[in-house]
Amino acid sequence: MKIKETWVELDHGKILADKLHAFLHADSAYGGVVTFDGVTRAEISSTHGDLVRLEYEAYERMALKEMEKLAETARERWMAGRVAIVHAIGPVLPGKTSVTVGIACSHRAEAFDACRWVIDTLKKDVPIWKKAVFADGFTEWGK
Amino acid sequence: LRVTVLFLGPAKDAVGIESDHMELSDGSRLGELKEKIVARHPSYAHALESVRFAVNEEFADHGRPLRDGDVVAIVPPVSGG
Repeated sequence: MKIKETWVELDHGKILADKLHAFLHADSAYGGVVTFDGVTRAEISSTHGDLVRLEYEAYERMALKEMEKLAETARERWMAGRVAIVHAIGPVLPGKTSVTVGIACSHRAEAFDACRWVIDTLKKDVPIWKKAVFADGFTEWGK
Repeated sequence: LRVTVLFLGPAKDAVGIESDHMELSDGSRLGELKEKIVARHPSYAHALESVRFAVNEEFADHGRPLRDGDVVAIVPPVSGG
């Protein structure tokens, strides 16, 4: 039985990777599951020292609506079955996951394409912003 | 007509406030609200050229007619992911 389900969330704690994995793998109708994790990259500024953390903010209700639209488009264009889009809000330390996109499709090609499109479009259209906080206290909004 | 303007993310830091209320004449469009924001926050005029606007949580262009009670959000270039 093919069940189409969407999991869209702004997560104020820790993205629960095993729960997402279970969600994406819950239906054996889908033979291709692709996930993408965006991870905070360690960075060193010559003037401000190490990147301590990224702080994410969102226009939450609109961000969730836009994420739902991405999931809907993934279904229409690539016949995606299960779609998960979870973004962290608040502090994310280097090496930790800030966003996860997971797509379950019948076959791998569609799953790869849909996953790539969702993360690329999320980074253009979903109202979420990150501020980088460095060791000396300097902060800078992401570009 | 009276609208609420939200300054989000980097816009909030640049302008120094999270929200504002503005009065416009009936029949005004988003473009006219933008002019008002420029007049009230001239130091933000340059940055305002690269932002998008959302009306009631949907992206909208300058021709969008405004209604009393609308919530207009200034959406600076996003940087999620």
